[in-house]
Amino acid sequence: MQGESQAPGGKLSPERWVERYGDQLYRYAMLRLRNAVDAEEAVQQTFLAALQNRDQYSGAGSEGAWLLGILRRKVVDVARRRVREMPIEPEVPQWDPYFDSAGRWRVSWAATMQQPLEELERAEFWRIFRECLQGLPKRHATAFALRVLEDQPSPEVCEQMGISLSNLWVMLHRARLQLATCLQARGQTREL
Amino acid sequence: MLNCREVSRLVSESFDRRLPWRARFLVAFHLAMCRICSGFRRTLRLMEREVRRQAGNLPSPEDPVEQLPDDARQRLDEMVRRFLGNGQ
Repeated sequence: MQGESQAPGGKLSPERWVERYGDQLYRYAMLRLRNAVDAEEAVQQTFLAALQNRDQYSGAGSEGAWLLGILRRKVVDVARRRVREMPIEPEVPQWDPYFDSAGRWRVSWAATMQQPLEELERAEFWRIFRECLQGLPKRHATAFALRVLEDQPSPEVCEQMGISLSNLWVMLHRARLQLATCLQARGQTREL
Repeated sequence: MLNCREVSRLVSESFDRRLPWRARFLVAFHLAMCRICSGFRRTLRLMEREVRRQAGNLPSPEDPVEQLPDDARQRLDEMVRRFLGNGQ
């Protein structure tokens, strides 16, 4: 099978993987890891593991999905190592932009996201969401990426990040507040 | 009685676990009276749904943003070539 440019079963020869899948895998990793060095590392680890184990790929399912499955594990591996170096946010910031001292909203949620989104709106939503995610404190963004984007159970995310459940919930609460506020400010919500 | 900050925290938590019945009751009671918290919950629900729906997909190859940088591409190509060149 080696040496053929197009192997049976819809498989590309590995020489063409970077060209064919590089951008997609990189973008997937960038969304979750949010910096070029980490994203490249996850993609590199993915191709390396895929090269070492390419005999195990059965040809069932697409090659891209197979690589994506590997990438997901590598993204978690990289995130797990990096999260320990990330600065810890104070649990209660000096000035809370969302609530006053009595716990009342400073933000209005009278508008809500429009649903369902049309195709173009969904692309626009996604572009803006990605930018909003970039604005989060690193640990909050990592918590959101591992819990929501990767859809892992909370206890697994806690183990990966080395934090308690209540800690995780505080981070996710802050992350969602900031993301929702950002989406609202960027016009991704409408008056009902 | 819970204030809006506490309710918003429980609303967020409800996306990550099933709340204890007492918390569910207190949140439902608050939401029935509070338009802002209801709007917050609706916004989170739609955000979570849309984000989860789009997150699992491998981004389409046509999407021009965040392409693999050229130097990274060269390093990856080099790695693959070396690996295959070693006859493994």
